[in-house]
Amino acid sequence: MENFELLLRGFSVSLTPINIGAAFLGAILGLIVGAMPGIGSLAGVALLLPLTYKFNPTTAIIMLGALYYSNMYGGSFSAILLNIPGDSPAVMTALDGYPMAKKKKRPGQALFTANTASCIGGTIGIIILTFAGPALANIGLKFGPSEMTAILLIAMTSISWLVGENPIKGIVITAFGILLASMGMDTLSGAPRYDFGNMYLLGGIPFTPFVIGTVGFSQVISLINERNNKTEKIDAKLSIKGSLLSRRELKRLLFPSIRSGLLGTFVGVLPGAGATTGSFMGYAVQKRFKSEEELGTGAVEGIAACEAANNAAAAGSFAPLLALGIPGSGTGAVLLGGLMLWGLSPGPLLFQNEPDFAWGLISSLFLSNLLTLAVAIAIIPFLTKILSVPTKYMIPIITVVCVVGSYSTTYSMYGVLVMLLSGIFGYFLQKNDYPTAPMLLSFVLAPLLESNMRKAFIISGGSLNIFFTRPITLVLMLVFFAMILIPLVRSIINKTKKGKVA
Amino acid sequence: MKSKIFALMAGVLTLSVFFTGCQSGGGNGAAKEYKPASNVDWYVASSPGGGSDIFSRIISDIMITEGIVDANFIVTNKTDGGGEVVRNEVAHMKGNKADNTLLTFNSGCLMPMVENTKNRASNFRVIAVMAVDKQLLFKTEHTKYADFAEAIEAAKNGETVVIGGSKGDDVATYEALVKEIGVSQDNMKYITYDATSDAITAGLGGHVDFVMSKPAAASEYVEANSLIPVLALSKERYTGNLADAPTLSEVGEYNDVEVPVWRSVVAPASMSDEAVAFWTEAFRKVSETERWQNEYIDKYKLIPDFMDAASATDYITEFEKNFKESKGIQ
Amino acid sequence: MTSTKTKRLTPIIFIVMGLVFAYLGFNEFGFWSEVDGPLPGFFPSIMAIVMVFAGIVSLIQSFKDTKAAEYNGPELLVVAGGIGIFVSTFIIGLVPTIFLYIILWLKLYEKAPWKPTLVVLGVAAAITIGVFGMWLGIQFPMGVFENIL
Repeated sequence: MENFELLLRGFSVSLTPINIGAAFLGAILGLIVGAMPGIGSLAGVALLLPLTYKFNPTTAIIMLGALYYSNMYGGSFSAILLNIPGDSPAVMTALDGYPMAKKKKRPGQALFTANTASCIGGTIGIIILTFAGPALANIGLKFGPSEMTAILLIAMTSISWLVGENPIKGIVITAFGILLASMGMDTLSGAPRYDFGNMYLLGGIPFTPFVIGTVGFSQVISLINERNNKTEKIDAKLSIKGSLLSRRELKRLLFPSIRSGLLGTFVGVLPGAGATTGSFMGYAVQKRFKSEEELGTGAVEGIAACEAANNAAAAGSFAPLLALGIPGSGTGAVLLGGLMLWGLSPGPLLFQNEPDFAWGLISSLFLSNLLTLAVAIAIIPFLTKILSVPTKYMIPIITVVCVVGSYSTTYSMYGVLVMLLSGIFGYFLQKNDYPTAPMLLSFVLAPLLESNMRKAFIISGGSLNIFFTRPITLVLMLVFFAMILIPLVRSIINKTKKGKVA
Repeated sequence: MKSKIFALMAGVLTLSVFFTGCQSGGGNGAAKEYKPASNVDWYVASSPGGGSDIFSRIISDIMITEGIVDANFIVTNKTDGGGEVVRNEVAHMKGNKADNTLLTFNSGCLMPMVENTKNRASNFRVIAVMAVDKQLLFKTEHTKYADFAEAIEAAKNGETVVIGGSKGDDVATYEALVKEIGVSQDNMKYITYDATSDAITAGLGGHVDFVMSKPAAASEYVEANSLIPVLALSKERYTGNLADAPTLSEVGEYNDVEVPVWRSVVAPASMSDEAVAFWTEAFRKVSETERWQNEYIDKYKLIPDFMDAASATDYITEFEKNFKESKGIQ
Repeated sequence: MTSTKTKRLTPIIFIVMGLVFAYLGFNEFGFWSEVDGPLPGFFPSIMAIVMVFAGIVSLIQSFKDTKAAEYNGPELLVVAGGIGIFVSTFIIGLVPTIFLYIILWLKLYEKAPWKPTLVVLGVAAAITIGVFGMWLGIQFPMGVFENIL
C-alpha cells in the first residue's frame, strides 16, 4: 500500500510536460535505434546517453529509461519484417514473426501482436517491480552459481525443440555453437582459448554480427531467388485498422503474454540473465503449452511469448539495479554509469535517500510503456509499406544495413567479416538442411552455463554435492531431470504399447 | 550508357569522400612547435559506459570546456580482441596520425597484453598517469569469519575460503595477497567475475566469503552496512567509512600488500617529443582543475596521482617488469 | 548447380573441427582439477567429442540422402557482392564503397532505371550517414584516404 502511495507521488513527478516530452522523445529514439540491426540496447543506450546530458537528472533518467524500454520494442521490427533481428532478444521473435509477415502475408498483425505482447509483458514487469522490486532483488541474490547452472540447463533443453526433423544435425549444430562461443578469453582462468594465435580471436566471436550474418545476410542470399516474383500486394489494408487482430487472436495472445510476462520479470532479476535469456525461456515454456498453430510457422502465441518475456525481463532487471545498485546486464551497467553521472547512486539506500527520483523513474516506465505502444502501433502502416518494396531493391538495402550494423558493433571491419562469414556459412547450412536456431541459442546460453558451472565447482571444491544440497538448486535440478526423462519415458512406454498391440 | 555510369560513380565517390569527413592534418612534424590537429583520435579499448570510457570522456570534455586544448576529440571504443587489436594498432601508428592519437591505458590493460601478446609498454609513449586506485576486501552478513585474521587461520587449517572479485587487476592483487600470507591458492580461492558488481552480488547472496572491490563500487553498500571492509589492500588505511579496515601488516606478521590500479593515457611510440610535451602539460592542467577533482576523483573515490610523461614512463615500466617477473614472462 | 558432395562435406568439416577442438581442449587448456573441478578445456572438449560422434552419424546418414543441395549463380553473386564490399572498404572507405556497390548492383546486374536507383542510394545514405554516422556518431573507415587526408 505504501508503495502504491509512493508510486502515485512518483506520477506527480513524471507527469510534468517536460518529463512527458522527454519520455516521448526517448521512446521514439529508442524505437528507431532498436530497429537498426547491430545497435542493440547496450550500444543504443550508450550512444544516446549524451543526448540526455542537457536535462536535469530526473528528466534525463526518465528519457533514458524510455529509451532502454522502447529499444526492446524496436528490436522486433526488423526481425518481423526482414528476418534480421534488431538485437539478440529479437532472435526468437523472428522465428514466428517473419513467417507470419511473409508467408501468411499479415505483417501488420505480426507487428501488432509483438507490440501488444510487449506492452502486456512490460506492464506486468513494472507492476511487479513497483510492489515487490526490492524483495525480488533479494530473492535474485539467493541465486548463486549452482542455481544459475540449473536454470540454464533447463533453458538449454529448449534447444531440443528447435532441432527440427533431424535430431542428429541438431546436435551437431548445437555443439558447433558451443564451440564457437568458447573461442576467446576465458574469464575464470584469464587465459585465451582457441584463439589460434590471432589477435582478433582473443576477443572471441562477437554475437551481434554473428546473428546478423547467420540470420540476416544468409536470408539476403536466398532472397535473390525471389527477386523476379511480383511483389504481392499485401491484401490487408495498410492501415492500423487493417493490422488489428481478431478477438480470437487477442485471446490467443493473452495467456502466453501473461505467462511470459511473469517468467520474464523473474528472469530479468537473475544475475547475468537479461532480456535475451528471458525471450528464450519465454519461447521454450510456450512450447510446453498448446498453441493453435505450430510454433515456428507464424503463430501468434510464439511472437507473444518471446516479446512479452523480453520486455518483462527489461523491467525486471531494474529491480536489482535500483534496489541494490547491481546492473543485471551490460546495458544495466551503462544505465548505472548514467545514473552515477548525475550524482545518483543506485543501491540499498536509493529508495530512502532519493524517493522522488526512484519512484519518478518507476512511474515513468509505465508512461514509456504506453507511449511506446502508441507510437509503435501508429507507425505500423508505414513499416508494412517496407514489405511492398520490390525484392530486387531490398537486397542491396538489406546488405548495406547488415554491413553498417555489423561495423557499428565493433567499430571495425572485423564485425563485418564475422557477419559475412557467418552469413555464407548460414547459407551453406541451410542448403545442407542444418537448422541455425539451435546454434544461436547454444552460442548465447552455453558460456553462461559453463561459467556458472565452473564457479559452482570452485566453491564446492570439485564436488557435485553443491547441485544437490542447496534447496533451490535441488528443486531446479529435479525439474531439469523431469524435463529430460518424462518425454523419454513416455516415448518408451508408447513404443512398448505399440509393440504389444502389433 | 556505361560512360554515364562511370561519370556518376566518379562524382559519387568524390562527394562521399567529402561527406565522410576529412581529418585535416593540422599538426606539422617539421616545425619544432606542436599544435594538435583539429580532430584528435582517442581510443578506448573497452565498451562504452565503463570506467575507462568515462575516464576518457570526462578528460576530453574538461580539456575542451576549460580551454586547455583547441581540438575536437573523437573518442572511439574498439573492443576487438579484448582491446588487443587497438593497442597493437596504436602502438604501430606512424606519421601525423601518431601525433594526434591517444589511448586510455590502465594496469588492467597492460596485464593481459603482456601475458597474451608480444606488445609491451615500450611500444607506447606514456603521456601521463592520472589517478590510482586500490582495493579492499569486504565481508557480508553471510560471512562466517569475524575478520580476515580468522579467515587466514581457517585457510591455514585446510578450510576453503572463497574471495570473489573482478578480472585483471583484482586477480593480481589476490595472487600477491596469498603469496604474502603464505596460503595455498587451493585453500584461499579466487573466483573471477566479469565485473566487480557481479562479485558484490555473489557476496550479498552469500555465495562467496569475501568480496574484493575498489572503493567506488563498494561505497553504497558500505553506507548501507551490506558490505563491511575487513582488509585494506594498501600501504595505509583508507579514510571515511573505510577507515576501520586494517592493512595486512596490522592483521598479522605480514608486509602490506598493494597492487595499485593506475589509469594512464598513452600514445603511439612514434609520437614526437614536442607532441608528448604538449599533451603531458595538457593532462597536468586537467589534473589541477576543480572539475577533475569533483566530477571524477571524488565521485569515483580515486587517489589523485598525476605523473608526467617521464615519471609515468618509469612507473609503468617498473610495474611491467615486476609483473613479468611474477608471471615468468620474458 | 546441384551437389550432393557438400552434403557429405559438411559433416566432415564438423568432424575435423571437433577433433581439433578436442585435441586442444585436452592437451592445452586442462581438463579437470582435483581442487577446482572443470578447467577451461573441460566443457569444449566434451562438446567437441559430441560433435565428432554426431558428425560421424550425420556423415553416414548423408550417404542415404539422395536429394542434392542446390546452389545457383545469383546466390553466389550476392556472396561475391558482400566480399567485394569488404575488400573495397580497405581501399576507398566504407561509405564510398556502399554507394559504388548500390550503383553497380542495381545498374549493371538488375538493370534498374535511374529513378529507383537514386532512391535506394538516398535511403542508403540516410541510414548510413544520417542515422549511424551523424546521429550515432560512428566513424567509418576511409580506406587509403585515412592517411592522405
